[in-house]
Amino acid sequence: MTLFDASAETREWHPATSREGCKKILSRLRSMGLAIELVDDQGTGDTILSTACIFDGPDADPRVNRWQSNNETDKEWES
Amino acid sequence: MGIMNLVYFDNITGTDFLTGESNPVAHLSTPPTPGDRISFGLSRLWTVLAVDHYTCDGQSLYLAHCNLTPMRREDWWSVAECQESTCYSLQLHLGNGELVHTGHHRRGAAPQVGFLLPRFNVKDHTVTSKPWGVEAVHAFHLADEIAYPVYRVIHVTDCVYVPEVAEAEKELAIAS
Repeated sequence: MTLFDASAETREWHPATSREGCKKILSRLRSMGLAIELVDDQGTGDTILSTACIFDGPDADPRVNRWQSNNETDKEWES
Repeated sequence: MGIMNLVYFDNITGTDFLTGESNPVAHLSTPPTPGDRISFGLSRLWTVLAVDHYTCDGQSLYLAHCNLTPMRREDWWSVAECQESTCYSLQLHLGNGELVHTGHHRRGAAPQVGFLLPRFNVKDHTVTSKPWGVEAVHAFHLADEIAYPVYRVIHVTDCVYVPEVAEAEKELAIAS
């Protein structure tokens, strides 16, 4: 059996509380000007963030942090 | 194949379940009928609104569409989702007859034999592997044409447990 190869993954994964939540994330990503589409969703087994939403397209980036909080930004500024 | 009269109870809305609820699967000698009521894990009961029949090599799979209140089929969220894609598919991964993983694919891609199922870790946003690998894939198609389909195809997989992956996960958990 072959393991999931995270280093070869080109799609972008985000958690949501439901499948409908994936559509909301898609709207948010597109409002940021990203050429991206929702291609897949998978169950996570988590009781709250139960859905993993998977996006693909020219702007999909599995390593980017789209939702960096202001708190984290503040920490960077302070250091 | 061991999936005689497999029934998957789907939520037509796509919205949040309450904590403790999830889509159940069952192996029934007779399929459910509209009006039947079922628990998704809690005391509140969901009503079966419609049942779609899928087949694969003479085997049957029944998709029971459920909601808490009645709703016209053309207004279902799940119907609208299907209409956005020409090949929208549901993936049901079974291990020892139990549901171990689900997914929905908007391009209709079938799961690949020989690969472990992905595990999305919500705490650190990483993707690793579950200790279940896909051993066989069965593509179920609608037995009859229907006006408002929800899934064009349902891929059911037979999964095998891979204890080495489970052991590696335990070691990682202890180390962290």
